[in-house]
Amino acid sequence: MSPPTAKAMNHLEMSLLPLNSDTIAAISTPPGRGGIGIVRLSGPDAFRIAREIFKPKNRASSAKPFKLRYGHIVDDGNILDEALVSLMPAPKTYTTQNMAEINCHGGNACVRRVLELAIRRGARLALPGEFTKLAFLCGRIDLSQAEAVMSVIGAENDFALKSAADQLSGTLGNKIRSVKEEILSVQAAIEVAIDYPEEFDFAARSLKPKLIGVSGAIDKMIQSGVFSNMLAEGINMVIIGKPNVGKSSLLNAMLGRDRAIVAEQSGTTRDIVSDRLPLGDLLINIMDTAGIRETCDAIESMGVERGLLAAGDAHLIIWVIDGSSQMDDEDERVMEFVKKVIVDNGKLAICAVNKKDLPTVVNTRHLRSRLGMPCVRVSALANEGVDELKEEITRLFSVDNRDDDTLVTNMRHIDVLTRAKQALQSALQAIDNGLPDDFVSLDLGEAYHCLGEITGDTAGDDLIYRIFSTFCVGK
Amino acid sequence: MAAARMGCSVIMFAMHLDSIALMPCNPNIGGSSKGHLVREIDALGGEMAKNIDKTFIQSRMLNKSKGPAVYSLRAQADKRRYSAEMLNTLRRVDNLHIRQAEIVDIIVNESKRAAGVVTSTSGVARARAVVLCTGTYLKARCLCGDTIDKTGPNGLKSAMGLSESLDRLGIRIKRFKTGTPARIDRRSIDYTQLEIQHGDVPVIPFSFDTRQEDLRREQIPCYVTYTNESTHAILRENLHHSPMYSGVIEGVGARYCPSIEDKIVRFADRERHQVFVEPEGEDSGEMYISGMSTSMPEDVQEAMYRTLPGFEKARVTRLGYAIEYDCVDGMQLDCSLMFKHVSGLFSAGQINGSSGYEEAAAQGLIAGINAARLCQNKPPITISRSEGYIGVLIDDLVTKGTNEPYRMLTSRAEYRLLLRQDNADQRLMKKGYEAGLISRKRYEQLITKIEAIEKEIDRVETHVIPPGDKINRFLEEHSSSRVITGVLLAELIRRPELSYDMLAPFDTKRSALPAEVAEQVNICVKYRGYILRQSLQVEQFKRSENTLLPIDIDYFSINGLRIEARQKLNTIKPLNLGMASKIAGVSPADLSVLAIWLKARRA
Ligand SMILES: Nc1nc2c(ncn2[C@@H]2O[C@H](COP(=O)(O)OP(=O)(O)OP(=O)(O)O)[C@@H](O)[C@H]2O)c(=O)[nH]1
Ligand SMILES: [Mg+2]
Repeated sequence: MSPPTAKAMNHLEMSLLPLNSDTIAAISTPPGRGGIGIVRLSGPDAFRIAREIFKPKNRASSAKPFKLRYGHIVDDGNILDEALVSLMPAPKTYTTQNMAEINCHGGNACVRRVLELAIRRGARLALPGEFTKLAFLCGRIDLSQAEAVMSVIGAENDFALKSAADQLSGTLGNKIRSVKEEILSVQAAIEVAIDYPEEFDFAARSLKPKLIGVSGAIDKMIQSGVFSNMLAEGINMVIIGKPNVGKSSLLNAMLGRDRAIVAEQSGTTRDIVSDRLPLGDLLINIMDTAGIRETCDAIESMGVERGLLAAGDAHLIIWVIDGSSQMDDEDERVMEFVKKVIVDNGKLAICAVNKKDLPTVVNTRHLRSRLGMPCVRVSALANEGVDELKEEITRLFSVDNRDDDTLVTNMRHIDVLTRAKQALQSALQAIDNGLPDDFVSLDLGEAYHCLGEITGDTAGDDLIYRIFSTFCVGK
Repeated sequence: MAAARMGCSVIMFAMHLDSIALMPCNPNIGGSSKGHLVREIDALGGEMAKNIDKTFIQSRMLNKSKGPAVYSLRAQADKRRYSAEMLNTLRRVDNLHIRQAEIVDIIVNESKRAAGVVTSTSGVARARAVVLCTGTYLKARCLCGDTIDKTGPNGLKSAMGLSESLDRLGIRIKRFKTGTPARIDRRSIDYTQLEIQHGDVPVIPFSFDTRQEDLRREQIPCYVTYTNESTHAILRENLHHSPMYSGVIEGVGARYCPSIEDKIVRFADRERHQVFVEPEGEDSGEMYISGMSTSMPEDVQEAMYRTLPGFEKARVTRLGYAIEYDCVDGMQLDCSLMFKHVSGLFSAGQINGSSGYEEAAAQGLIAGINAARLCQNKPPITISRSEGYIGVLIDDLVTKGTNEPYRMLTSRAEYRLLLRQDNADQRLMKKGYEAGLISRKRYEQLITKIEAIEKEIDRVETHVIPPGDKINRFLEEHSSSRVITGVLLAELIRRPELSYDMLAPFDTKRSALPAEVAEQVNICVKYRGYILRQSLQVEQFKRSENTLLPIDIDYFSINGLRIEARQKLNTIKPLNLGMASKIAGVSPADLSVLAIWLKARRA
C-alpha cells in the first residue's frame, strides 16, 4: 500500500483524525538516563513552540526543512541545554502535520524539562499511542501493522492507567480527589440553581474564595511537580550581594576549592561563575555573580544584569552581606530585590552574614525577624559557619520541610493539572468579568473533566448524582 | 398527530378520550431545560408550544441572570382548557381517527415486525407501525397509606393487559414510581399569609409563531409558603404508615422528585422546605401544592397540609398518592425510538423511563415522525446530542438507560451553550421541514432570518466606532472604560455592562432589524469565545458520530481494547464512535484502538 497524500484521504480517515487544533507533544525515546532523548511535536503550533524554546547557534543560516540544527534550549532567555532540532513541514511527515523533533542529551530529566516547556507553551501531552495512531491513519504505517499498533496503544493505555492508579493510592490521589470534590460541589450548587431556579437562589460569586483555594491547591501540586524535577536535575542556587562582601570567597569555601577569583577591590567578578555541588541527596548548581551596584563600567553592568536575571530564575538565593560593617544603601537595594522575588515568585532565600571573624556590627537576630528568612553567620575566609549554611540549605529542601509532601512526578499529571488550573482561572475570570453563572459552570466542568483524566474517570453522571444527593429539590 | 400530518392513515387509541393531554400532576409546562424541549418541539412542527400559548394563565422567564443558554420559560396551564384545546386540534387533523379502547396485545408477523394491535374487546387494528405511549397507565397501581387501588393516574382505569404482550415479545420491563401531592380547595386557603408570585409582563411565547397580541390576558398569581417543624413532626411520627417505608412500594422513584416524607428523611437537617401553591386553572376550584407530593394515609395528609401557614382551614379536594407503573428498558430502542429487535414497534414517553410532560411530548413527536417515515420507506429522522435537548434525552435513554424516572436537566446537555431555547428554530426547523411538518413558507422565513443574523454579525465584527466625547460620556455612565482609539463595535458588545441594543445610538450604519435577529446577534457576539470553544467540540463530536460502528462487531475480539471497554461496548453496541465516546468506561485510547481497527477492517 503506497502512502496516500493528505488530499487523497477518504472521508472515513478524515473523520477519525482529531481536529487539527491541538498540537501534541511526547517523548519518543524510551526513558533512561544518558543517551539522547527526543521530544516530538506535531500540529499547527509545532513550529511556533519549537522556535520559542530553541535558539539556533547560527542565527544567520536560514532553517532548512528536515535539516538538523544545533543550538540551545532556552526558557525565558536562560539556556537550559544543548539540542539538535529539525522542523518538518506538512504534509510529508510521519503524522502529515507540521512536526518538530528536539534531540537533547541531558538524559531523562532534561528531556522531561523540554517536554514541560513545550506544554507550558501550549502543546498538549499526546495520549498513549497518539503519534502512532496519527501515522497509521495517514497511511504512514503499513496496514499489516494495524494489529501491532492497536496492542501498543492498548498496552500503553493499560500501563498509563495502572501507573496512574498506583500513584493515586497515596496522598496525591487523595488530594486530587478532594480538589475534584470541591469543584464538583461548587458546580453542583451553580447547576441546581440553574435547573431549579425557583427553589435555589445562588450566585457563583459567593463561592469565589473557595475556587481561589482550589486553584491554589492545584498550583501547589504543580509546584511540587516542578519541585520533584528540581530534585532530579539540581537546585539552581545563586549567590548575590553588593560588591566585595565575599561572594566569590563563599563560593570557594562551599566548593572547597579556589574556583572563583577573589580580590580586595570591588567589582572583581564579572561573568557568572558556576559549578556543581553535591549536598547529601541534593545536587546544587551553585552560581557566583557580579556584585550589584550602579556602575558606569559597561562590562561590569552587563555582569550585574546577568546576575539579576539568574537570581530571578533561581530556586534558591544566597544573599551575602558584610557583617563587619553597617548596612548601606546598596545593601538595602539588594534586599528590596530579594524581598520582591520571594514574594512575587515564591523563591527561597537565605541571608549569609559574612566576615564573622571580624567584629560584627550587624544584628543578625534583628535582621532575621525583619526579613523573615533564615540568616546564617559565616566567615568565608576562615571557613566558619559554612557547614551550618549547608545544613540550612538541606533543611529547606528536605521533603519534610515542604508543607506539601506530594510529589507529582508523572508528566501527564503536570499536564492535566496545568490545564485544570487554566480552566479554573478562566472560571474566576468569568466571575470577575460579570459573566453569567452558566459560563462559570462550563469552565468548572472543564477543570473537573481534566482532573478526571488523572483519576481515570471517563464520561459519567457525577454532577447529576451530586446535585440530587446534596440538594433537596422537586415538585 | 405528526404521522397523520405526514400523510399516513393513523388510528389513536386512548384509555379515556377525555384524558388526552390531561396533566395528572403539576399544572405547568416548561421550566429549566423542559422549556428548551418545548421550543424544540415547536421547531420540529409539534403542538405543545402553541397549545400552552393558548391556554396559559401565568408565564415567567426564569434564570434571566444566569446566561442565555439557561433562560427558562415556564407557564402555568389551565388544565381543563389545555386538554380541551389539544383535543380540538387533534380532531381537526385529517387521516387521524381517535378511539377509546384498551390495547392488550401487539400483533407481530413472522419476520418479527409489528403489524397491529388488539383491544380488550377483541377489536383488531392492522398497521405497518405501532407507537406505544402508555404513560403511567401500564399495570398501574396507586398507593395512599395502606390503600392500594389498581388504577392509573387520577383514579382512571389502568392498562393491565399489555405488559404480558410485551413480555412475550422479549421486551425487558421495569417498574418505576412517581407521585403527586394533594389538591386543596381554592377557597379554603388564607392567601394573606402566603408570598405572592406574579407573571411576567410582557409574556414571552413558547412558540416561534405565536404573536404578541395573542398572548394578552389577565394572569393569575401563584403563591409560595414553607413547611415547618410541626409539618415534619407529623410526617416523622407517621413514617411507618408510608408505603415508601413500609416496603409496599416496589417501583423505583426519582431522586429529583422526592415525596415530602422522603425529603424530611433524606434532608433531616433542613428546617423547612419550600412549597408552591399553584392554581389548576382559571375556573378551577383547586390548588396544586407543589413540593409536597405524598403517599401518606388520608388522616396524616389532612393534618400535614394544615400545618402550613395559611392552610389552617384547608380542605383537601383530592388526596396525594404514589403511583407505580411498568416501563421498558430504553436500551432496547434505537435513536429513532424503534425497538431494535421488533421492527415497526416504537415507544415514547414514560414507558421509556422518562418523566415529565415535555420529555414525553418530545419522544412522542420523534416516534410518530419515524413511524411514518418507516411506513413511507424513508430513513428515520434523528437528533444528535449536539443538535438539541431532544437528542440528549433520547441518546441518554437508549444508550445509558436509566434506573429511575429520567428528568431533563440542563446539566445533561454538554453543548448547552449552543442548544439555547432562543435558537431552537435555527437548530431544528430544517428537520421539521424535511419531515413535512413545517411549511415551505415558514422554512423560507427562517432562512431569511438566519441570513440576516449572519450578515449583521459580520458587520458588527468589522465596524469600527471612533472615539469621541459622546461615546465616552455614555461609557462612563455605564461604568465602562473609555475608548481612546477606534474600537470594534463587537468589542464593545462583549463588555458585560453593554449590549447590542444599548449601542444603537453610536452605530450609525445600523439598519432596522427584527428584535429576534438583534437578540441573536447580541448573544452570538457577546459570548463568542465560549461559543467558539463549544462549536469546536461539537465539530469533533460530529466527526466521530459520522464514523459508524457496524452493529455486528464482536468487541471481545478486538485486541488492545481494555476488558471493561469490551464489555460495555458489547452490551450497548453504539452506532458510531461519537456514541461510544460518551460511554462511561471507554477511554480515549480505546477509541483510538477502535478507529484503527475500523480502518484496518475497511481496507
Ligand atoms: N575578614 C574576612 N574577609 C573576607 C571574608 N570573605 C571575603 N573576605 C575578603 O573580602 C574581599 C572581597 O572578597 P570577594 O570574595 O572577592 O568578594 P566579592 O563579593 O566576590 O566581590 P566582587 O566580586 O567584587 O563583587 C577579599 O579581600 C576577601 O579576602 C571573611 O569572611 N572575612
Ligand atoms: Mg566576586
